[in-house]
Amino acid sequence: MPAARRSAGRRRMQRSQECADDHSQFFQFSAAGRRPPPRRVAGRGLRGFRNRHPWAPAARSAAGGRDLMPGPTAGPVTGPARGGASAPGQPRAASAWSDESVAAAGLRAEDADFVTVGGGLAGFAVVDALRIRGVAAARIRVVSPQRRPFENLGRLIRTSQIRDDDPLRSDSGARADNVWGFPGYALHEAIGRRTLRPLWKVLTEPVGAEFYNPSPRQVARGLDREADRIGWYSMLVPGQAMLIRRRTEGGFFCLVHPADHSPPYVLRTRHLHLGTGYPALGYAPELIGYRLRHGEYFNAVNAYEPHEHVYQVLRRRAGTVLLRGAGITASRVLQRLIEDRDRSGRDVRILHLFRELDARPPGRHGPGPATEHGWRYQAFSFPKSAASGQQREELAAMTAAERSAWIAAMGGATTARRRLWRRQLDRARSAGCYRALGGEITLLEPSPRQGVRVLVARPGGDGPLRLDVDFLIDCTGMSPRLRDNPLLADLVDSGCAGVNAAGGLDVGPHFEVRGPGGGLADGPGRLYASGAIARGGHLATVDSFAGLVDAAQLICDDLAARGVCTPLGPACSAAAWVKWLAHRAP
Amino acid sequence: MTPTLIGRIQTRILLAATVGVLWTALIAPFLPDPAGVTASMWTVGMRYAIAFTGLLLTTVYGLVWEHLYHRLQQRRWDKDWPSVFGLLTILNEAPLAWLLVNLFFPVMSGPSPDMLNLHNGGIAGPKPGMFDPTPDMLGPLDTSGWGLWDSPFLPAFIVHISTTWLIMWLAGQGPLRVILIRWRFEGGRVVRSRLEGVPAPGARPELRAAEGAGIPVRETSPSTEIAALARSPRTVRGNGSPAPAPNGNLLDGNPLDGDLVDGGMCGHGHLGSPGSRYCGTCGRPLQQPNGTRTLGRRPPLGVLVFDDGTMHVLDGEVRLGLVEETGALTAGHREEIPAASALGDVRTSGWRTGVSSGVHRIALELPDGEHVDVAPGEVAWLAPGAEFTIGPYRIRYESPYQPADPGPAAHGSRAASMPPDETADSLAATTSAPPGGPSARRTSGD
Repeated sequence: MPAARRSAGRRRMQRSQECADDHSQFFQFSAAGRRPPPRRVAGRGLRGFRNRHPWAPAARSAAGGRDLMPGPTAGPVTGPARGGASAPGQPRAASAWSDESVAAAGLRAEDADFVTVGGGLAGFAVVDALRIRGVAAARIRVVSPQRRPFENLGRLIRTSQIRDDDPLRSDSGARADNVWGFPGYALHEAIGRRTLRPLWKVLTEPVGAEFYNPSPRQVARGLDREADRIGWYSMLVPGQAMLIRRRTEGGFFCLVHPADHSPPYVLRTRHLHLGTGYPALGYAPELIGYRLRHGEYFNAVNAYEPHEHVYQVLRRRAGTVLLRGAGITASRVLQRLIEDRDRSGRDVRILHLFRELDARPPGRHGPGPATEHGWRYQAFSFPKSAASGQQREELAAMTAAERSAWIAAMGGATTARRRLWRRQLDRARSAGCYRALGGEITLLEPSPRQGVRVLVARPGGDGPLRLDVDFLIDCTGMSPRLRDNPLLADLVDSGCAGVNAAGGLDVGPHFEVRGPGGGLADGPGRLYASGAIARGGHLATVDSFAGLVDAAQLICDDLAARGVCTPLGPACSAAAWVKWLAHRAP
Repeated sequence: MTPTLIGRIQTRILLAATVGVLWTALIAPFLPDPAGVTASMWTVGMRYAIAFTGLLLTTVYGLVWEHLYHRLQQRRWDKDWPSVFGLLTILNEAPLAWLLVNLFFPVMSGPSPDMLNLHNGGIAGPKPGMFDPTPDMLGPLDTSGWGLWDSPFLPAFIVHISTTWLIMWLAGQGPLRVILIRWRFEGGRVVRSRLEGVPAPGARPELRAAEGAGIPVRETSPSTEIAALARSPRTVRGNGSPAPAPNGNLLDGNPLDGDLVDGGMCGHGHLGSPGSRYCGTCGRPLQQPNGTRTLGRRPPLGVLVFDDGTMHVLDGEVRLGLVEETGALTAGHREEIPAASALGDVRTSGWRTGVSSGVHRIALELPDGEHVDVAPGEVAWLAPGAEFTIGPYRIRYESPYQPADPGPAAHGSRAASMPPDETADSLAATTSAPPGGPSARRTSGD
């Protein structure tokens, strides 16, 4: 029996299993026999959770002391949990809808030729490319809870301590607001500030100088300008996409809950694009467990949630902070801590926990230290040639499993080798206020002196380490798990989309979402996905600015072949570029 | 742009054939005159011939160079080829090109012995080639000293080849990306075969039902199920909701209901602020309350940071006061701090925090730089990053929750006009009963 034709019951069983796995991280805390958190009342444990999550494993409660799941429980629910659409308590809606059934349900339907869900940079890049290729704004709809395309990303960037004028980890030609990549950010800045310095930097990178990196301010300005030019706001449908269903007559339905709380309605479209971005912030299981058990939200924080209070406290008094993570966010948080320390003169001690203190990036050979004091240096998340070069071609030729393994190996946590950071760390190291450690956090609990007690399991034969710190900042990044996004989870469960070996949506060479069997459900309409949710596909750098533009072009090539837009030949491209330069609507 | 081997080759040919040819055609008449060569030899034809031969040889032999560069690129760990390399490689390519040009135009590195014989009136050598100079072309110059590297033609060659190279390199840095939009993503490839899975424009999409990729479609699409999606708003409870009343009904007569706030709920049932995108407990996305109202007890709203670095978590109402013995600033529940030593009160309402003082003026500095002077008895709503001064003490408020809408300001001004006692009541009232809220909050879904 083809995989795509599995019975609903079988799917449900499988889903139960997957979701059980999803939630398993919570059980390890309850398994430790910890007390339930304060203010939590007996009887509101697993029962309530199961009311809304019927796949929550019933057997766990009987399995040796696992009768209380401390955190994700709620009071008895008197109605569906979320808008009814994905409420597990009721029968799931059919996996395909017809015009007739939608009309009979009293749902208003609006038509569009192309709908993108997400409204972040992934959707923006596709819409921008479509507008450039001659699709009218009136034919496109963008379902998004955010107004500006850079809104959510900008907030995350700021929260992770990259200020508006700090360098991002991106290069000059990677522009989501300019599909041609020319002029790049460097030329733009050179003209704007009347200086040759950015051009010199971009000319000599990476041999004579560090890579030129644009700042969030530059990116935001460019995106706002382009959004204005292409009529982004006229295409915007403020609200949340709750459900996506195939239309039996061809195309897709997207159920929208408008942000203004007006009645939900459906968008009926031929082609649909998903660009919802990272489904969740990557809170470490230990951190979630700690919060749920102790109700403490301010001493142990994730770097992507607002945590300014940490720096404000450490500006005013001495303290110890433990940092976890080896990526660019950790570098930036360290910069902030050290700068604040220099300015305030407080005795702030920084402990930095790496998973491994001496790991070498895969594929790295040749001269020059790639690793240093636990860091793994790399200019960008992936080698440059993975974005546009031979590694991109090699990757496209691999099988899904090989590709997934390659991406997992190459996409580990790395940071940029910036002179400023290395000098700061050298100084902090020699002053004795910075120390790198290797190990994994096994337990977090409040310390007697209003801080956090961290148990660290160290590699090798060393015993566990107990650290009492004032703050813990977890810089482990974003969570790419599709299941964290209810819309995507439903899409996978309902058989509209398959999942690849890397855990992303299974997409083809043109970012068309493939069904669970790996084949294309070809028909009059196509479902596309780009950005972080399409990781593990033909492109490694899916979540970079350049990757988003690349994906958008590939999607538009496919759409052009289907007659949605025109192909972008040299003359059209040059003409469109002139319009871009003159800030004229495409 | 990080090139592939095929991309390198295609790009070089394309650039030479377009930009290179155009530039050569433009610059050839203006190349510097070789010293000691008469105008009758340095004709326009000669200029173009030498220039185009130089371009052609640079391009053709460049294809060999590209293979070498590709091999070198393999030694770089990220298989990258910085753009400055593309500019500097002319330093190794030009000398070879000059050498080769001289093979075609022997005169440029000095007249050949045959020519000299001709010049000296000796017996005729082989028939002169098209560009071999006749004796009168060479003029009175003593050509016996010409070598490969001190030829009078060298400056012209350098000017031509360096400017052409620069123009070609610049074209690759920008304009080429404009004309060929896929060029930079495909490693410099200009010509590409149609990608797998893309039908030709206008072709009917190929149906691949045989692969079993169909979407499992139920025989019917029951309208009732879809209709369930368009239900009217309802109220549910999120995580952290208080204990059920003895009768088991959570929404009936629970004394703690005043602590419940509206919010969004994540997939694990945690309550989050309506303005947040991610759950503050587990980081998962929050479903915003569209159509469904979610009630629950919110997590602690933020912290107060005192001047000495003390951090006080705001989880409900907090009174700021002085420790009698030391005179230090402290914070605690209302009943913990005697009214005599109280400085002010920090209260929460929904997802907002306000500060008021019965006796002191409060100087509030908002994160956007705005200064607000709050009279005794008035309430000022705080935004994350706001700092306020009561008496000699400066306190900072930090919170992960941004105000969801501009509503608080309007609300604040209303509350601000109330006398202290009423203000306290109104805050409490706001907590439990926002305008239009209480009845909805106490209504269960169905």
